[in-house]
Amino acid sequence: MTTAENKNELVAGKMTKQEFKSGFWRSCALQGCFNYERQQGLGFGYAMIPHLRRIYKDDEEGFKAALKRHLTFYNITPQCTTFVQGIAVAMEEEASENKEFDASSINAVKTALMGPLSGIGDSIFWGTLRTIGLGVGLSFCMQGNILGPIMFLLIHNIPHWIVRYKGLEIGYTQGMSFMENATESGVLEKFTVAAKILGATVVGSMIATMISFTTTITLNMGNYQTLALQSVFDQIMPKFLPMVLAVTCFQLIRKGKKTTTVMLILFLAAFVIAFLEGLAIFAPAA
Amino acid sequence: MFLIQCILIALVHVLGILDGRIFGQNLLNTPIVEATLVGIICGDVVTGLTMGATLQLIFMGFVGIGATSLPNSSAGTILAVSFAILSKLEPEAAIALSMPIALLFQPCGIIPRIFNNIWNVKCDEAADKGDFKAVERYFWYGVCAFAVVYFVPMFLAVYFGSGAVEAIINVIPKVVLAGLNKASSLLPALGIALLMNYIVDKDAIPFMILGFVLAAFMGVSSLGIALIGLAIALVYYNFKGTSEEDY
Repeated sequence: MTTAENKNELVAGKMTKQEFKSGFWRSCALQGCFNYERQQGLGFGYAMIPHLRRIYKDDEEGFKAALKRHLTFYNITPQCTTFVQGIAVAMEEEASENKEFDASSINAVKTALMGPLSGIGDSIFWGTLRTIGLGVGLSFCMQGNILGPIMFLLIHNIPHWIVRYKGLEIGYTQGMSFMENATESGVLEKFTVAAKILGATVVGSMIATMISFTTTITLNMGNYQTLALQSVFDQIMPKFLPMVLAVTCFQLIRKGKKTTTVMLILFLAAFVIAFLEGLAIFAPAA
Repeated sequence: MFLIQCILIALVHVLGILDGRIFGQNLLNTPIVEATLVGIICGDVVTGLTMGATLQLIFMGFVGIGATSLPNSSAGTILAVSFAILSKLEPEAAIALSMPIALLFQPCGIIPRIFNNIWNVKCDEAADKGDFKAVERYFWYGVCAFAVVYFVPMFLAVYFGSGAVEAIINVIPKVVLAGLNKASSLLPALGIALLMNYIVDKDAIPFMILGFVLAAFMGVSSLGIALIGLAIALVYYNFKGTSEEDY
């Protein structure tokens, strides 16, 4: 770890609060010029401009090369970008001072971080926080309570902005060693599994609360006896139909069926059920 | 008044896309948020909220991760709520319409992402000259491309669509409307299944069952269930790691 500490000592100090602030706000615009070829590349370069201008203040050629370097392909969970940005800034400082330093390693590190960080970021922000936020927010929305969208936004965005803000600082001051330590000690893996547990619990509850699938189909048993199908399902277990429906859809998707295919199946089923419910012989007794 | 409403509604669509472009991805393009905003603009927040909840479930799986192009759930949400409130379309029927609308508006996402390829070369050339101001300028042109492509079609759809929708509803047979209503109660299952596909693997199934039982059999509120899930996750996080075997 001594080499990493030495590196930190070397790079510390070039960034003032002003570049940090500017780089932080610019990191929000990561996908502003999104395109299929470079994806977030231009956005990353845009965010690096204030940092690079400081680092290469007296080195015109160095600035040009560095700017071009950061306009290349880049893609990451946007909420996590500042961590990579911080590391890139630290490495650029190193490159500007140490002529032996191979500048191409900067993009190599960026590229190496994209995959794993996006994996963690997607599962935390998209998988877990969004799911929990929706689980809580949706129940308010269904009651027509304005707290629904507000709770949702708070649950996702408070962690989002903490990660975004802290990421730049951590990435800049201790980025490389931080990633190594976190991966080696298994903290990241533990965290991802814990997030998955939380997400799965909330998803399970959503099956029960969010799918309002019931039927009015009633069988005529003769002798004026009728049997409402729904009451049979309710005796088996509460929310039986939603559970069967969700598990069926889940299985179809797991088997690789396209989303649009499943959607069409659902539409078809809906029309069949609606048609049956409309028939006089299945109508509930008046 | 109607004109202003149309402009504001189109701006919700723009806000939705720009959130992920330049505001740092705060998930403002989520159906419950957009439906609420449209509800406020059209003067019926409660309809916005309740429709937003159902639309959210339908579009749950359609999140824009990475570069994949997806049906435009924002457009589906915004127009469904607008038509329900402004054209007095049955909310269930409006919700069922949201899916075809989302498909129709999918090019909104694709066009700027193709068009913005032209800035790659321009930015490279500017960088070669060290002209960072030009890089910044091209970057913002790219942002404008998104804003324009999201504003114009949405404005036209609300402005000319509301009346047309009203006329069409009056001729739709009853059984079709019943089918659309039923579809709006079945479609959330797809959204949840996509979400399950995303988080639930073999290890996580017990926790999913737990969540279902807590909600279906015991009626615990969603916040309560989230907290129970959090407690279990914390237990796991704190105690895992003493030995490799104790999974």
